[in-house]
Amino acid sequence: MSATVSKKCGLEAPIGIVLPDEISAAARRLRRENAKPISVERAANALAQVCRVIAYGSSAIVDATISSIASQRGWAERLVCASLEALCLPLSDDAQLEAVGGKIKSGHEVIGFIMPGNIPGAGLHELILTLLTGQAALIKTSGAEPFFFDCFARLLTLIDPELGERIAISCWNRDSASHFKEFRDNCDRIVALGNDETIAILTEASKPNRDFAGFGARVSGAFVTASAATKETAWHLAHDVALFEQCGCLSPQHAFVEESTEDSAAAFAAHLGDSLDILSKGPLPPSSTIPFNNAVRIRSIRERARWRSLSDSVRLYEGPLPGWTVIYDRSAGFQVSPGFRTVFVSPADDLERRLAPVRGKIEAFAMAFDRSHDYPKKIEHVRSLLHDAGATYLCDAGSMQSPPLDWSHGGGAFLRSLSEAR
Amino acid sequence: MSIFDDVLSFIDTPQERAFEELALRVFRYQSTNIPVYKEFLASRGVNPTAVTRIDAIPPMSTVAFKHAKLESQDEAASPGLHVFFTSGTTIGKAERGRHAVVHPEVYRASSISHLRRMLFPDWAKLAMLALHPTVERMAESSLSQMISWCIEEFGRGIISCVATREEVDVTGAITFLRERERRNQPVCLLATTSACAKLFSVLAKCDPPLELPVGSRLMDTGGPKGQVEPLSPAQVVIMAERLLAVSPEMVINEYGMTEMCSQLYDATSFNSWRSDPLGARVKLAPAWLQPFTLDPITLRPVPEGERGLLAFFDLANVGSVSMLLTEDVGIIESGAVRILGRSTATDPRGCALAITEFAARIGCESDL
Repeated sequence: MSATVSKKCGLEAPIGIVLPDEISAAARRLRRENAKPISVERAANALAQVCRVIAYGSSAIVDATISSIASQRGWAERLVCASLEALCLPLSDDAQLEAVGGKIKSGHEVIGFIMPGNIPGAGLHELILTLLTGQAALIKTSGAEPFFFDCFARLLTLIDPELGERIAISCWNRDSASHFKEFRDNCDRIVALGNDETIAILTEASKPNRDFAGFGARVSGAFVTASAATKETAWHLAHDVALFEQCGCLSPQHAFVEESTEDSAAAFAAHLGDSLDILSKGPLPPSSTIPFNNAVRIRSIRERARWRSLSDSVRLYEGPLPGWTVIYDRSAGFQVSPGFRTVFVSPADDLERRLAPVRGKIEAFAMAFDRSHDYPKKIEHVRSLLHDAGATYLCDAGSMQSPPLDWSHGGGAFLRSLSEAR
Repeated sequence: MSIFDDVLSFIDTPQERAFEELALRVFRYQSTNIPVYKEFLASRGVNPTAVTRIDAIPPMSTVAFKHAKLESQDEAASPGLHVFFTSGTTIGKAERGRHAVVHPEVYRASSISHLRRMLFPDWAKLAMLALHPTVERMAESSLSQMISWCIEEFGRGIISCVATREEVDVTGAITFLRERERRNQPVCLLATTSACAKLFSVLAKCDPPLELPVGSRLMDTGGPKGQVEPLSPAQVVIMAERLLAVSPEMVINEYGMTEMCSQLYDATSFNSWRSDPLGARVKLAPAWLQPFTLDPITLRPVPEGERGLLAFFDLANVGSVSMLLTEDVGIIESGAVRILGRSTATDPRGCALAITEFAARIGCESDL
């Protein structure tokens, strides 16, 4: 893998392929490398080690990557570190990776990845599954996030050079038809992460002869029982909100709180605000900049909540911008947040109706409950409701950014397709 | 003289150097006489008597008009007080903004003065066709009131209103226009963009096409509200020329809102020295309305030429709140305003559901 610094994408980032004909050359190299057997055990060891290095930040490459990500996005380096740690830690156990990889048929495909730009590391699970199962990855990084997968590939090459040769990184303008044609024609299947519009375009462009797995737009939230509506739960949930600046599909946008009294969901909203305030002033400082359109939406949300609170069951808790915003809205159904620590809280009554606006688009839900006070049947009912609404990952508060390797991301289509790999 | 008289006097004879001093007096008047506004300023840590620059006045969101009474308390019993309500067509709930105008003569003076400059700079008096209800039919609509004032001041000869609150009589409109064409009588059309779209869809099938006499003009307002397939401002100009033979420079789009007594209009070669291409027109404010573009994070003014949230200090809002923050995005260039619209919320690309997608799924603009 070449790793020359290039400005062809307008980035001061080490990237590999940029020209269309380099894509087919890379694919040929990947196929040669794919022919050499590498056991699941060996791949699991190497991949887990890479994830440990990233999670613990114990390398100059990782330090430089974190610095680049932080600089480009205006994020604090501490935030980037903490976010990548949350993402990578569950993927850093050799035995677990081997166990998952061992259940999937091995293959020899070249899988093309079109990675998104919203957060660093989105698509990592799919990449690891690909390499665990003996396949190779031709990755197109986003211009908005060119650093993470390059870092991953470099570390893997250092740890296991042969396995590292099964990744090729490219960065090119997403509107380039010539690049995409080479990419499509040289991959056995394509995996893309992005918004629904991007996925629809790529789905069409990939026809008729390429398998395509798209991970489109998703939202996440939280359910909190009355007995778990504590400051501790709010603290854990605040971490879920703050990591990745709430820009990923696993970031909670709306929390639904079971009420023991009329004001208990509002009280939880206040706790969440307090926690976000502490995080923002301390270990997880907010972005120095917020993209303009997101900032406009956050301002609009704040002002509407501010004035609605005069005459409606709405309360606004806010820190100075760029910072955090919590809106308690008694009557709201699921509200999509513009990110950057803007989170809604509502009572959990009639949860099915409240989730209706995003049914089929839910990715993750934190479930906070007290095992000694909450009836299992109630919890099971909520789990079932969330699964029916499309949720693929149910977890404790504080774990939303840390799904396991066998998480059914986007409904599990990619996992299933690997299981059927030719 | 009361503060209202001072504002009227300024509208009648604007003096640029006197604007800021009067604006600060209006601000202090409002901070004393509008309890909700006083609380808002206190919550912002603002001492009105310590404010010495207009750009230090914290802008109040126009959303406030939906939830609070914002009229001056010492004028609340004014016999001329007129309460206007927003249309509430774009929001899921029936929350309508309420603007109590305590002295409508200030509103009238503002509207007519700027209309004269922007729509009637040739001092013409014309036949009028309203495709939006006049105030007798829709008393709570500030647009209806403005249209009625416009007709009173600039109308001559045949006047017709073909709209009720339920519908626009497009057939009646075309009949009226055909007669003006036959009699070679220039006409001024006053319409929402939505009503224009309805008119154009029928006119497109007319044979022969209408050719209104030279001097005819069209004012449209409202933008994409209420339209399934919105007409852009540029399309309105193109269609008006094609289907009505109204020259492009005579098609003037208005930017206004119930919450603000002043309006902005397209600058064209008809009413200014500008002749921007379609799709890149700017709007001109009257001398008593100062536009700002603000950083949405800090709410501080951004440099000219940079986009920001549009805010206005409107002297004509003397009886309510003058320093207003809208939800529109724009750019100010040499004092003129380029309106970019509501935020498109083109969120960073990625797999998180964007607000625009969410709104499309639930079929309306998200309430928050």
